[in-house]
Amino acid sequence: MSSTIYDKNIIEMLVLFLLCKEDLYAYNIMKLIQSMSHDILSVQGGSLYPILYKLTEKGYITDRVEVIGKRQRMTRVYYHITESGKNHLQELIDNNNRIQLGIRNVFENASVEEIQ
Amino acid sequence: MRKDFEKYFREIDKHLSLIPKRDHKTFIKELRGNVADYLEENPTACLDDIELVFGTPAQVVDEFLVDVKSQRFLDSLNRKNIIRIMAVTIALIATVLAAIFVVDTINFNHGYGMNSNAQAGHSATDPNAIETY
Repeated sequence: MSSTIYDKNIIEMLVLFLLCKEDLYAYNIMKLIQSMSHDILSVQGGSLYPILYKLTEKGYITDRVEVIGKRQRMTRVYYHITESGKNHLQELIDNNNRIQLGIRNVFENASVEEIQ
Repeated sequence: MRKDFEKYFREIDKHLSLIPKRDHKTFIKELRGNVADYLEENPTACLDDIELVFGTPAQVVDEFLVDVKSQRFLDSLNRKNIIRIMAVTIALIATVLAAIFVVDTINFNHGYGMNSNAQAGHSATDPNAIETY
């Protein structure tokens, strides 16, 4: 069973990372996060769309709409990472590494008695 | 798409009416497309599965409004307020104009009455009244 990610920075980082390889649409991204994390992580669509729109607004990604179906009621929106998006990804990765290191330091400095 | 799935989209659509129509229609179209892709891979999926993967309507709307309450959302609220204020102002002006018109009409009728009285010989203060009328 996978754990749903709610941390927006983590989702942002994973989205930008996946988009570095190829243009993807939202459902693609959801599936890739789940499969590439070996089913440890998952992102709900509801959490993903606002992040994609925010990244688009900030110019970190661009979108391309493709209509699917005859009645034009359904679209597939492909997202593409921009140069500033790649820079932002690097910042997110650095920030995440610092957080991970900080958490590890806290755990290493705490004795078993303190935790219990 | 199945009826219960349509209800899912309608529910989201209804609660997103706070944000500009163009934005939420675009979002619903994208969501529909992604759910269609999901259903293509999982033809036996039910509404519970959709809600598990994409979120319940409440979750979707909640996440959307929390994040997209950016400038665009605030702008749209401001626009709505401006429209509301303009509508109230126009209504007030219309009411004042209508009141002026009514008072004017009453005054005109009153004058007509006086002239009638003058014509009937009840008022001799204005000897021209009969002639001008």
